[in-house]
Amino acid sequence: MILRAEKIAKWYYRKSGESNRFFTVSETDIQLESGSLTVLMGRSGSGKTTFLHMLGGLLIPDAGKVWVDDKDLYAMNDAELSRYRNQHIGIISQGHTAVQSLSVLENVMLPQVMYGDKDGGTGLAGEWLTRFGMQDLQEAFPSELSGGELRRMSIARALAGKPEILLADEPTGDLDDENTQLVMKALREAADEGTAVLVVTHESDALDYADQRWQMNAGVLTK
Amino acid sequence: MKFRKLPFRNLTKKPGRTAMLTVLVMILSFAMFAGAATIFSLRNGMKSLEARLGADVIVVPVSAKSKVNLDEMLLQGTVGYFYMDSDVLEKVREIDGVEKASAQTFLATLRADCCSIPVQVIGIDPDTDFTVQPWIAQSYGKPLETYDLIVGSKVGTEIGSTLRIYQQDCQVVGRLDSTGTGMDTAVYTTMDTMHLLLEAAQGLGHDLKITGDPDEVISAVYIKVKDDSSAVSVNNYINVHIRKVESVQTKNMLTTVSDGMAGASSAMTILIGGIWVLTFLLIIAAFCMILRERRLEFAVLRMLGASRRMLSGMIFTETAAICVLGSVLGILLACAVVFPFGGLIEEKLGLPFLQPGAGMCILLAAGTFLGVLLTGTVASMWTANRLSHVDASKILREGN
Ligand SMILES: Nc1ncnc2c1ncn2[C@@H]1O[C@H](COP(=O)(O)OP(=O)(O)OP(=O)(O)O)[C@@H](O)[C@H]1O
Ligand SMILES: [Mg+2]
Repeated sequence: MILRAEKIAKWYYRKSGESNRFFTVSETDIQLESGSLTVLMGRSGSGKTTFLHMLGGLLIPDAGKVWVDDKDLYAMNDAELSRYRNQHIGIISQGHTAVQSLSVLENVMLPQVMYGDKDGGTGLAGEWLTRFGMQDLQEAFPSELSGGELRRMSIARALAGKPEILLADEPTGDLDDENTQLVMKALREAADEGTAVLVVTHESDALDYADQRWQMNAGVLTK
Repeated sequence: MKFRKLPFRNLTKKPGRTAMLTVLVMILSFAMFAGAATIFSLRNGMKSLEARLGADVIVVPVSAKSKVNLDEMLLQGTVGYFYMDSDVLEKVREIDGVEKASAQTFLATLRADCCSIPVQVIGIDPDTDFTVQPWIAQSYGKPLETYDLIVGSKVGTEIGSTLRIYQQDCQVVGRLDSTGTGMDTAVYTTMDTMHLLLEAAQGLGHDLKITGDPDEVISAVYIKVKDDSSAVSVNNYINVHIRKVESVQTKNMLTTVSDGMAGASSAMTILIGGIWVLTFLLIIAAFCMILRERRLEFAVLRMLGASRRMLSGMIFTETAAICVLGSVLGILLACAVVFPFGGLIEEKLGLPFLQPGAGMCILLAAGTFLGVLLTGTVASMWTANRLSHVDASKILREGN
């Protein structure tokens, strides 16, 4: 499985310099391969999230294409793309992304029950929660969780689906060192098991786990 | 856990939010049903009034005009009395175009020991009467004996009890169905009994201003005109040819009432139309406003792979469930308010107000329910469609 971005770019209209077209992400190529962990560093506002969303099928690029193997991601209609994202791409977003009316365990299982409504066991959901030290919080609701716990919950949710592509946007942002290590190890493991992993982060610790390293500066990607 | 159950989890996990929206829908469907029921009752009252009145032309002595407001007396049950000689009836019967004519005699008791309200006693001729007799026959079935009374639906006297009128003991033998008109507060008896009551009243020193033989007086003649003749010409003929009487066409009399009716009913219709539009807008506004705070949650669902269709399905299920619950509760509440207080509404509006029967009420409730449901469904669809187009990327980027 190879995720390939071909000259993708995103711009908004806002006064910047002499042009009022403002590139959040300038024309960029990148390739994420199965089994490899890519780390993308960059300052706040440099366009990392925008870039990640374009790779994950959440934001249509203004130019270029995103391919997964031979499939043009944005050539699919909404139903197809949604289903594709559900079944092949795991996304860990910035911010808190819990569904308030569901328990922690149900939140983690949510992507797996979206299609087909299969009601079989908890699968990997319980396992990941246990690994992240949240076994006792399975029945709790998101409103009862700390920021770090919510983050680990959303990481468990992305991992539990065993996605082929995993896109993590500052997954360790609000975690302590111990938990950061725990999460980075888990992401590394996922890559070793064949997932193409992209980690967007500020923290240089993550570089230790990386196979590929990229830097983003004002929308421009460099090695 | 199943994705299909998520909407219900969302509803039950946030009871405050759910209750707030349900109450809003409830208030709106209450207003719609109460309004519709009121219009319907008014129309119903009007129809019954026309049917009950049955007469095309009514003849009363000229003196009547100065004594009471005729419309009010005949339609709203204000008490009053006036008399003329019974030969008017004979003269009327001879007129071309008159199909039926029957006399009635009125007597007002200002204080009967039964009731705190003054009662209008009306004597009819069971053999010729076509305005009240059919209804009496329907609810009583036997001929009226001397001193037998039939009471209107609102006269607070039990069947079988005795009513003292000018010291004469009268038996209440039956009760008429409600008409929503002055007939509901009157008491009916035969001409023979009426004459005995008139004598008794005079014997007690009440000056009824009767000229001539009390056994021969009548108060009004009710006329039914032949199908091929015109009520106008009969009316005019009487006014020109019979002396000391005033002839009125009931149609004209009813216009005051029906104008009031039409006014009230069209005001209500406009009001209901307005409420409906408001309902629609309010439901949409409330749904959108309250659901907006869940944008992040919707964006998360999109991120996890829910299609726009699935998301809008979820939102629709939630809002539609609220609409169903709210409209059922609203209609139940309206039933509990409108029907017990129909009398009060009638009094306040001064218009005939006849509650539709149970079957009609159910139909009306079902109609309102469907109306609110349809409105709610369209509002829900609109809301769901709008909110399912959340820009997931933008919301997630802004995060927290
Ligand atoms: N919809 C939009 N309209 C206008 N400007 C936008 C839009 N989306 C992103 N931007 C701009 O693009 C730039 C990059 O945003 P982005 O969220 O991708 O940065 P980031 O690298 O993820 O930052 P952070 O580390 O703070 O999360 C920002 O300056 C932002 O203001
Ligand atoms: Mg970001």
